[in-house]
Amino acid sequence: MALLVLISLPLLGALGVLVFKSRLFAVAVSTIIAFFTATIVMRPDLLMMFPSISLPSLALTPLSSILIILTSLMVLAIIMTSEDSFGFIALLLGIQAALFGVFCARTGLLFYIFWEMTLIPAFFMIVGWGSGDKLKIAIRFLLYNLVGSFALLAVFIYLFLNTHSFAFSDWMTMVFPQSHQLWLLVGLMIAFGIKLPLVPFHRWQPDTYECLPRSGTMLFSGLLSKLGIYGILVVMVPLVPHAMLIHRSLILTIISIGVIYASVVALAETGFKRVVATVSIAHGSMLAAGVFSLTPIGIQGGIVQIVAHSLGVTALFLCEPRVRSRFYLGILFLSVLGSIGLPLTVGFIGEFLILLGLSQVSLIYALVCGVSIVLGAWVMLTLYQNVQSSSDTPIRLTDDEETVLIALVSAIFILGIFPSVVLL
Amino acid sequence: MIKKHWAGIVASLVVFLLFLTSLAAFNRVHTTGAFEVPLLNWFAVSGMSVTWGLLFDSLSTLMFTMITGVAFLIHVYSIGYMADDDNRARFFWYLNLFVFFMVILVLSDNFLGMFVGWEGVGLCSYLLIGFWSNNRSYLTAAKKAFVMNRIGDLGFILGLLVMFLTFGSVQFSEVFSLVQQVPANDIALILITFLLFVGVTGKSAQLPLFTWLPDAMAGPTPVSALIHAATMVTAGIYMIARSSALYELAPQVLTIVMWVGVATAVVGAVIALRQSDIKKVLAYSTVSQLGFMVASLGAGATFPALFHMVTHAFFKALLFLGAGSVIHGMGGEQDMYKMGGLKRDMPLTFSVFLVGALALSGCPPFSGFFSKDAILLAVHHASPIAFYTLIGVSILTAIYVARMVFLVFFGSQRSDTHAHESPAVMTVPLVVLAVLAAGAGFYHPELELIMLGGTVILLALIWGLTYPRYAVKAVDDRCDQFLSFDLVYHALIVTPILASGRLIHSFFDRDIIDNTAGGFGELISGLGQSLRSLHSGSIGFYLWMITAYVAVFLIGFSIWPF
Repeated sequence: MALLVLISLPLLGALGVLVFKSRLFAVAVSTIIAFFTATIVMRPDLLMMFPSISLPSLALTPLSSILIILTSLMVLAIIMTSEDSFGFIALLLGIQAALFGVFCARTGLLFYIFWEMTLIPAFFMIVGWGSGDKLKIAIRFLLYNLVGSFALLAVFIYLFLNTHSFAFSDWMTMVFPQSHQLWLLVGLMIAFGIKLPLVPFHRWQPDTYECLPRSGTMLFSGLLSKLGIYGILVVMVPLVPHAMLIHRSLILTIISIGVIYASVVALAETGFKRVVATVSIAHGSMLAAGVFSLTPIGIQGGIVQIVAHSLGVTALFLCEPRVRSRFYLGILFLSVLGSIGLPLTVGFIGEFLILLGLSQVSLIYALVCGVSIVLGAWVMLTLYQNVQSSSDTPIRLTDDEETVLIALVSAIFILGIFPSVVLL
Repeated sequence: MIKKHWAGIVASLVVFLLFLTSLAAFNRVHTTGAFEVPLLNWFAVSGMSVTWGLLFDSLSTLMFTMITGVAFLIHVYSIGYMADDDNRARFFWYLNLFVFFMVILVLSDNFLGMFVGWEGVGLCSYLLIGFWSNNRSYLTAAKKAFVMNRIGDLGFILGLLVMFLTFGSVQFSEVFSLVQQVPANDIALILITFLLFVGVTGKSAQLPLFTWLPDAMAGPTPVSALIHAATMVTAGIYMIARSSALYELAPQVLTIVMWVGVATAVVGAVIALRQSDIKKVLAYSTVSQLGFMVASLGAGATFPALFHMVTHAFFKALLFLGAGSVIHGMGGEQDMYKMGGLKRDMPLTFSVFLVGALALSGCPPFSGFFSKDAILLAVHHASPIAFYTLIGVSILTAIYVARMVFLVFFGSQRSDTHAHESPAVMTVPLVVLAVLAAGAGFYHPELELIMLGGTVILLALIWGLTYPRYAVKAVDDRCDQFLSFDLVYHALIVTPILASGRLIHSFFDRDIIDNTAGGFGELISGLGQSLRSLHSGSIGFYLWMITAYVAVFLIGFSIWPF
């Protein structure tokens, strides 16, 4: 019941925003959602308050607890700093509802519906609020993601036909024939790989991020891309562990190449948003590498890195070039440090655990993915120095933006020193 | 006065308090033995946990005392050196941050904590090299230092991974006790020690990763003295000394360590011979002297390496600060060929610089003689060839030191700048360092008469022979690009990476992936065209149709009884 409320709250909020057209209302709604999320995560017994109407198809796992808290805080941060009109904020709240839905869904049907529900507001965000060649970019975004969705749909239909159920619990207990597992793996790989995105499914991402307004980029990079890795963690890993294990070296090789590929491309990219977007592909691939190592430590590292990347990339996009005040340069530099995984940032814990997980498979993967740490430092410091020595832009950081940036950067460092919060 | 210098005074006081703490810790360790102070349980995953504490034993308190002592003197000196800089408060905060990370580095009781300090000092080094951020080339030098250090750090991390896999821990106490059960020449142990040594080549500027250090001279001179001579670059020496229990069981790696050290000593000294920038001479000299220490560690001799590390910290910090005093007095000039005759204008700086120079060339009874002597003896036991090579390097050292001293302080004045002696806040730390550089050797005075006599005669010969060339005629033999590894690295590594980035970007991303995806796209949009007669053609309507279709499909499936 509480989870149903959780999912409907942002939808009601979206309606309210459209009716009242008040920024304060939007901030208030997302604050309430954040408190609500924190409450049900910290007091899971509240979920049991109305046992008669509790829905078995929605449930909280430790992983989804982390993710819904992350989602509600990030949406709050985005709404606080957004300069866009109320239609945009309504769409944003709609996506938040869908994200809550995906993170709480325990049946394939709900998972799929909520998964698709993110797509439509996202599309309209690009079309309505994007810049440049937005229609073309929006269609490309949609086509890529629909290919993924249909792959996911095909897999889910297969699973339904074989188990006569949509419940995850029924799916995960079923053992499928070897050859079928391979096809399931391929289908899920396409579905989640496009979302993450993994090389070679990544080409929709830099243009989309560049085209979106700043809040949209923060949403797409900080939250929507996390759907991909969430899907891998809750659907792919429990469903086809054997196929994943058999093809582990192949998958890890492809991903490791992707990590280097994206890092090297980032060196050739120009423009603040495009560089951060491309580095983000490298980080996403690295995160996936941790999970695909199929070691407890690597998976753990991947989960930490979800949080780290979300915080880091949101802060970075919020820091797009401004008046180079000392505060701005300082906070941008700290965000860069978070992105390159300096020790005492949460990114370091994530990267270290991922590399540790990879090295349990083979030291080669750790070495190849580790090279991206060097390249990442190169890219990000170049980016920072370009901002540092560029000519001024006339836009200043607003007070709200400063507040959000301080919160994000503090979180990056606090979680780096006390990471046990994000360790399952 | 106080108002203008408050940042520097506060920063210096903090470091001074830390220095007093280090003395207390040093005292306690030498009366009651080593002790630990737990800090926090950092993280725990899958049965592996990292707890973070501070370990005070004779090695770490030696480092602690040396770092805070030298850092205090350099902080005080910086009050004078940075007096006219608008951003001096920021400067002192970076400097204090550096001391913090350096202390974390040497006091941590586990390798991961050491790594935190290790990367942290690299960060401060970045910030301080690029301190004058209006100059883009300084920023480039800072970035180069950070990225090259990261290459080494990658080695360090990989070493830690193997260590975790082998021992299940990175705590010093556990690793060093478990290693006793590992057979000698174990492949994991060889891998760990080698990878950790890759980290050392980055931080302690050894071949092949040393080229960032000379560029790091872009930072203010006190930074060069503190970070790039006395403390940060000796982190690698500390690390190998700390892990000597591991290295002892991997003799092959020790051999590599020794020869890398010897080669670095040679390369650094040879390049130093032809530099015109006073700070570059000192930088390459640091590279070369670090090579001595690494060679000593490679020969299995930890004590001489640490001994030389301490004396080097004193005399190299002294030389850098002396050079800073000269640069300050010359109004920012760093080219030795534009100096000359400064011993008249800056008598105090000259005399302390001379002490540092004599210590660096290994002249008895200054400290450098004893420590270098100890290293040479140790290396002699391990490999006579290495020993003779290092003797050769010592001769080169004496030559470039003599060249530097003669060009700067002797002969006639070669520029119009009227040099002036630095204020007391700068010269007092110089004098203290000079006393230390002169006297520190008596901590361990192992005298060998042959060495003593030989060194004196050799040095007298070198100073006598180079005097007419540099002090009288000031022969201009500069060659700043001499033996440039940078050009090679640029051609072989940097350019190919950037080129492949552009190639992938234009060829793979655009031509291959986009065209393939575009092919699918056309297929789908072709389908869309044929369906267009059925629909209004608006994208929004289209999308709702897709969703509705999918939803009906799924709901149909879920209620259909089969």
